[in-house]
Amino acid sequence: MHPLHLIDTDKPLQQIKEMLAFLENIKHETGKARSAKIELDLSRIEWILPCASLLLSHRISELRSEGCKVDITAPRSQAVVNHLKQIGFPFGNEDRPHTCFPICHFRNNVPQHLNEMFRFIDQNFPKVENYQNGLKYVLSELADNLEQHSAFGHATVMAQCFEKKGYIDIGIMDNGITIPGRFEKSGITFNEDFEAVNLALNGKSTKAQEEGRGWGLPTTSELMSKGFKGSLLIISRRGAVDISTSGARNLYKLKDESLSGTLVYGRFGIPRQKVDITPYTS
Amino acid sequence: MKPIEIAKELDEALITRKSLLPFFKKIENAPAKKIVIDFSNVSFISRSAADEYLKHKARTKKNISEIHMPKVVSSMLKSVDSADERPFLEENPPKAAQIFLL
Repeated sequence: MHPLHLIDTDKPLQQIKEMLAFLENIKHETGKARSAKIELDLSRIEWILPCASLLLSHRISELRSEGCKVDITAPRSQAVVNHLKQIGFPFGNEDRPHTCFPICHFRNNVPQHLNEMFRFIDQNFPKVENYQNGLKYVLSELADNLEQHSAFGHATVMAQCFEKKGYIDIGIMDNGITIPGRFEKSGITFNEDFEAVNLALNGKSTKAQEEGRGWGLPTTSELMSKGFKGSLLIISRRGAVDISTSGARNLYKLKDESLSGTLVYGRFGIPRQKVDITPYTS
Repeated sequence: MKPIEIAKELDEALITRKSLLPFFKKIENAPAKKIVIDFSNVSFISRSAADEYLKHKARTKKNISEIHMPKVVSSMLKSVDSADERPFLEENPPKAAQIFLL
């Protein structure tokens, strides 16, 4: 039985760190046999952020598709149980409460799944002028990167609106080659994985020989921090870059764990008036 | 040849580069030299899809024109068309604040 402990916080990075350690632990267990059974104890969780739910649900879905049986002990907290049900943890949900586009796992057809998400955004998320376009801008650039570069076999996406807190959290996770892995394959050199992630955020592209490439992540990071007064966190293999609302970047080296894929997690502030996204996207 | 409704061929939001490839393959295989693309019901185009669209349009020998293009699409196409060659941050990357062990 693997018990999960999560610090009660609104700060994504702290819960992500704990979740990565937890996933590293169960990696040893599930590596033993394809048809292993694994027991996850979530009873002690008092609060789980969407980023942590996304990471865990992605891994559980992967394990199930590999033939591993996953037994989950539910949280004791009814509030957490209700929250997990609302976000469709762990395998997704047909019901879509208006504050949440539930966890959606997919193996292909990226545009189809993103179009579903966009229709949801149109109907349910705040209708401040240009805001929805800004959300779609970020999501579409991340989706294109997923399709173009990641060689993913399994991806997960979700979005949750915290209207009272004044932000929307959106996450997209894949089990692909990772940014550092893609750069290595393309002959782009770097020392640490966080440098690779940082280079990608600055526009370094593995398709630099083609014009018009490398714009997605830089414009996304500018729009997130300066346009939406939000934050962006990218974790890929052993590197992470956290861009704060001021645009400042903190770089992280994962000491004991690594992520088998890439997680992009954005927190978009909800503006009260029209947002002009053009200065950040052109 | 009657106009091709791109939203019906693909979807209302044009999101990824790859998703445009079958659409342009269809255009290349069409017998007509003049192609009109109808953008009715297109709600969004990503920067990447806009770039891909413009590249295909520049490369093809077909004469392509558009109708019913919503402002959200025309402004993205214009933005991509007028962009500098390299993303701006590659020339002036922001300074990283600190490096941590996680």
